Amino acid sequence: MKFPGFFFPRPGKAKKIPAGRQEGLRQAEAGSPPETGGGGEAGVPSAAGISTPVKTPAWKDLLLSSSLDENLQNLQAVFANCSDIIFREFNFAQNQNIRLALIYTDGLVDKDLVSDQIMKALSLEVPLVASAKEITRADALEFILRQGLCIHQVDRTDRLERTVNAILSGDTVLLVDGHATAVINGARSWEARSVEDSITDKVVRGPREAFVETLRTNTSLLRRRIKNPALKIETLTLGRVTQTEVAVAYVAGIVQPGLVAEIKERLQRINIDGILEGGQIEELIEDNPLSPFGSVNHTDRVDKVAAQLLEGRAAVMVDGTPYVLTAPALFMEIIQDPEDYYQRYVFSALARLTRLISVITVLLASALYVAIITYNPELLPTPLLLSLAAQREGVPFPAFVEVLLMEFVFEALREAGLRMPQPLGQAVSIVGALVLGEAAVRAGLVGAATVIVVALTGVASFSFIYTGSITLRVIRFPLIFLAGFMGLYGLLIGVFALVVHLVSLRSFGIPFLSPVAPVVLSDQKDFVVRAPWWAMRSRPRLIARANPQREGPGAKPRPPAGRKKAGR
Amino acid sequence: MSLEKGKISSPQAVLLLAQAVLATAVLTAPSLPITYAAQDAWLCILLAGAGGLAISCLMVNLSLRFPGKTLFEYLEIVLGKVPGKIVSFFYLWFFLHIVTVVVREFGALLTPAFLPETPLIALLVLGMVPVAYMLWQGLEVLARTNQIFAALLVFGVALVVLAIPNIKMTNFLPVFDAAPVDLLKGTLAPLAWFGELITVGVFLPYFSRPEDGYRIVALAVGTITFMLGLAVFLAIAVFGPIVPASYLFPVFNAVRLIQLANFIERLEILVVIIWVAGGLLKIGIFYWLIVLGAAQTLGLRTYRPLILPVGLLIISLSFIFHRSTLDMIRYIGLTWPFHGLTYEALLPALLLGIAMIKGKRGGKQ
Amino acid sequence: MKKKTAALTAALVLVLCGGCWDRRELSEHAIILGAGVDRRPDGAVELTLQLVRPAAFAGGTEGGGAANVSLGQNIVWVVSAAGEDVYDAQRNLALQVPRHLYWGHNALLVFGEEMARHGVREATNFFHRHPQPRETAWVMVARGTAKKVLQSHSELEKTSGQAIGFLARAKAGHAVRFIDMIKDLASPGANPALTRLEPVRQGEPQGPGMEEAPQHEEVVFTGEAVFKDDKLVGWLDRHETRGLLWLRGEMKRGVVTVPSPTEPKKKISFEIIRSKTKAEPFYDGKTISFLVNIITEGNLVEQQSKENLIPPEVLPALEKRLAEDIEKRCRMALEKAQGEYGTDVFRFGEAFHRKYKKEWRTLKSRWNEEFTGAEISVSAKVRIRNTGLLTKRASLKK
Repeated sequence: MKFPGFFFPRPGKAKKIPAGRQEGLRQAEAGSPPETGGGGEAGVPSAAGISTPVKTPAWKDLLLSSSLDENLQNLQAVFANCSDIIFREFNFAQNQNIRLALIYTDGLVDKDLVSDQIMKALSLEVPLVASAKEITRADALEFILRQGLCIHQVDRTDRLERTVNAILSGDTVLLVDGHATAVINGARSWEARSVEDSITDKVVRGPREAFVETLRTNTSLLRRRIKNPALKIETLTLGRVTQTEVAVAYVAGIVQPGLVAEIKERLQRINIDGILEGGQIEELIEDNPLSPFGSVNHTDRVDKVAAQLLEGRAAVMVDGTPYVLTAPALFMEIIQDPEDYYQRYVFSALARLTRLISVITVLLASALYVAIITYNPELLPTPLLLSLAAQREGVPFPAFVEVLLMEFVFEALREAGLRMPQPLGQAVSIVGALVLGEAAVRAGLVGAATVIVVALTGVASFSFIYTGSITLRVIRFPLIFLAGFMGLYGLLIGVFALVVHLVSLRSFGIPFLSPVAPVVLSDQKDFVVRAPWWAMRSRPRLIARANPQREGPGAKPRPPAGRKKAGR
Repeated sequence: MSLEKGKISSPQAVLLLAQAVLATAVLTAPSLPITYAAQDAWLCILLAGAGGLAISCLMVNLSLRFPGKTLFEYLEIVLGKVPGKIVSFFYLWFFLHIVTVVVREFGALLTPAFLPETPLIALLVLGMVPVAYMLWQGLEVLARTNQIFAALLVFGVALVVLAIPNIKMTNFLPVFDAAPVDLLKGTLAPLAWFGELITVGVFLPYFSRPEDGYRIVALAVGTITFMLGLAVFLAIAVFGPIVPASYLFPVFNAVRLIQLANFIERLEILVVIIWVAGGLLKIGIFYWLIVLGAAQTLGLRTYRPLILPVGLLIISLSFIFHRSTLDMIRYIGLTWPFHGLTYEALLPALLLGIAMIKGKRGGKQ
Repeated sequence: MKKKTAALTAALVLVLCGGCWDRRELSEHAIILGAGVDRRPDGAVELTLQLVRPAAFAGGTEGGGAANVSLGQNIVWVVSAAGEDVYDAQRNLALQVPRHLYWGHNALLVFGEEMARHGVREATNFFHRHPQPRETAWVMVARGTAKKVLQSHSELEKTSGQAIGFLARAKAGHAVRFIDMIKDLASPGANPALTRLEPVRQGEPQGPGMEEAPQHEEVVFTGEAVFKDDKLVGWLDRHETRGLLWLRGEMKRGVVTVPSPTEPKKKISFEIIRSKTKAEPFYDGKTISFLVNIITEGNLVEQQSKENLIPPEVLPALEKRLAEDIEKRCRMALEKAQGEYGTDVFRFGEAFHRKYKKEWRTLKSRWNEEFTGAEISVSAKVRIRNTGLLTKRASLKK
């Protein structure tokens, strides 16, 4: 548990861990290193919370016995009333006295593989291959492992708990009579969504692959991007009841030393019954739990995660979640999009600038409108003032109420568009935008300018990363309130407080507003503009302090000096 | 040192020191020198800048003799425990005085120009909340917030560019028209503002490179001189040598005159943005000095419990010290230069003398 | 901690709930686009305001275009009230107007002739001290009352106030911003000169069904009001105004028309592009003299005469004619200012100050008198840079 002090900006704030949990933690740490194989046991804080109908709470500490019957009895007791667990007993082909049993979860295994390569192999085909020697009960296990099974991934354990976990994770467990060892065969296969386009981060140019719900598929996607043993993927299991697999991925040698340990430490602190989505983990491990800004980012794009890892970040992948968490997160990521790195850099600068303006628009446009209209009309040019005044003549509500009302309508429309069954979504937006807005203006209930401002805010909120925009959409409301009550001064105070807050945030030790405050000159290359690739020679300075060099010198392409120019 | 763990980088230190003077001075600066020196007021700023450099270097010299100690801490070393604490309290009182002036100046632009009917106290209470929040987060957050809003100074320079059509360079002629006495009179008030740089005595131990102290104050003085000079330049170039003396905020009025291409106009909001952000930061800086100094003098382990009471004290004192805006202006014009320079030049010089004598003695032993 | 948070929240809520002190909806404003200050015979100040009726500007769906103002609908409402001073008059007006008077967009401040003769300083302070009125508003003097000027409307623009503003911005004549008048008032070496406004019957509105429409009075610039300190002392007509502008170095745009050097009855017009004036003072301890150098550049735009412009001696002769005309106009303005009115509206005092800073200290208190006796010689130079798209006239038979 030695981390550089850097990761402890406020040590006094560290959460107190109850004594009981601390013990669990210590046990977990003492456990064997996590394995990438079928469902490792390391990191399981405590399984005591699992409430099974079995009245033998001590089963998790049991070791397997050498009697097959006893083992089966135990397992059947554990899996009582679990109709999806299949127990299959059969005899070993070469020595009919040796009894074998297969236990697996129906629907989580590759049935062809299990019946062809395990059952058929052991119950029928083994005698054909090994004829010379009689297999005794004592060397049956060794023989099966060496010659009997045609499965890629085989593991063994003598603990009942591990056996149970393996079965539940989709592995097929083979028990051999007379051996206190369970053979865990990796033959997982289940119905899963195939790899598709990213839903939230769309690109025109760039890879489209997105993560899916299956952790193994996700790690494979990542591995295909970074074919290097330095890409480490450590697994642990979280959730007392759900026993969800969670993987921490990073590139050794680039990642900041201590970051991974910090993340794992925070993950292990989690004591919760179930992890159903990465968002839960995000809220349980972030630095600033009270802030509206998350200090962990997420994406479902493979290339983005790979890029983040290459910049020195670490990723947390959660089974059952197509979104991968990345940390440390910076505020500026709100305006960064994967496509920026693939498109022409000049265009990327324009896109980034557009997004930056959009960010400001989402935050400030409606509040500014309220403040200027109701407090400081002297800031408007005369013709604009006159036409606004004309619009607002006879509008029944104060501008402040009107804006709040329209913002509510807009939020409701957006929500409706998201939640409605898909074919209706379009209809809602058209009805909302056209009919409601137009009718409200025509009826003189709402000033036309208000509708324009609110719509502008809405459009702007779609033009950058969704996660960022939802935070800003929330913050916009207090700002509108401040503007409504104190005009521009109130708004300024609000913005000041927001800046102070942003500046005070850290994500895993990195200042959240980092290339801006504190100013990091070398990181300006990837902020408002994206420098051409041949100029992006270093990784983000604060995040990848360990290994800042990204490119060698002389990356700027140029034609060879001696070449004759054709086409003159 | 245990009170505040933050460290500030050298650029942040420069900006922090500059802000400690600029925030309010930049709008109010031109009036007084122009009153005395008319079109030669820019000379006053240059003279005051030179004086400011001397004062701040003196303070750096003094502070560097006590590495890792703030003004409040080494006062006790230089003067002895009890006298040191007493002088510390005087300094706290002085900083409190400065911050009340800042608070009043802050309100003096907002209330008449922007929110005439809103009670000043409401503005101040609302404004102090984020400042207190900033202090709660510590010096690093203060420095970084300041760094972000320092970008606004660029807007300030841009405004001067936009004002070029209103500028008449002949307003500066004839040069050296003012009598030397008037020049000196005009220099006093800005000099006292520059003297606010003695805050470096408290900040220095928190610099990540205290040994760069001289360079940092020199850069800060340079920045301040440039910005104040620009403010005076703008006021004279736009209004001539007479009119700006009557304005509370000549720069604000000068920006109101900007009219370009029929749509770049009514830009005073930018001044107000700079003003509010700078004002809050300057209040924050002195507020921080007071809570830190009080905590160090009283020997507390943390200054956080002081934030709320000191905040209330600042707001109430700002009303008690200055009955009206004119009261405050009179104070700045007549009392402030002497009040300020006592603490900013006289006392530090004395302290340095004592420290040098004591230091020599220490060397002999 | 929780208690503190609660207390803080309570304080904030209180502050915010008590808030909205300055909140005012746009529809609660009576937007002032023009203001006039007159002095009544009894010494009271009469304030006249041109208020906009925003409904008449209704753009968007109802009106079908912002420019459409239906006939018979009033666009502005001109109200006036008297008071002890300007603000008192404004308070009295506030009793008549159901909305809050809003000065933020006032573009025009007109002083009535009586007010101006009495001294404008009595009426300027409010417009400078109050944060709402802007120092960029145009300041002008009405021949007659300011009320009469404001009670007019413009055919082309929506309000006469805006029309005057556009006229001033077009720099066709001379126009002074409020702040420039203040600067002239404050400077010991200058006196204000403001544009003179007059309602004049001119122009004809035309459109289907409007053949019989009556001609009405529109406000136009007819010259310049000359001040001595803050008191109006006399007028300059349009020609003399030219001279004033040249001498002040404020000639931005304009036309000079002179007889042709070869055919005196035919005229040639010259358009000013840029002009530079330098007044250099000379002082020997007794007499003050000024040498004013004017350099003007411009284009020849119209030629009634027939001479060919190409021969090398033609343009210089023409330029000389133009320069003489400019000098003549300057002398006309100078004669009026020095002789009749005895006031330095040319800011020559400031030029003198720039050169003789010591002597100025004794002279500045009686500068206008010193100026009256000053010897001022004007020399103009004209450069014709272009002759439009023609060289010589094209319609002449060979």
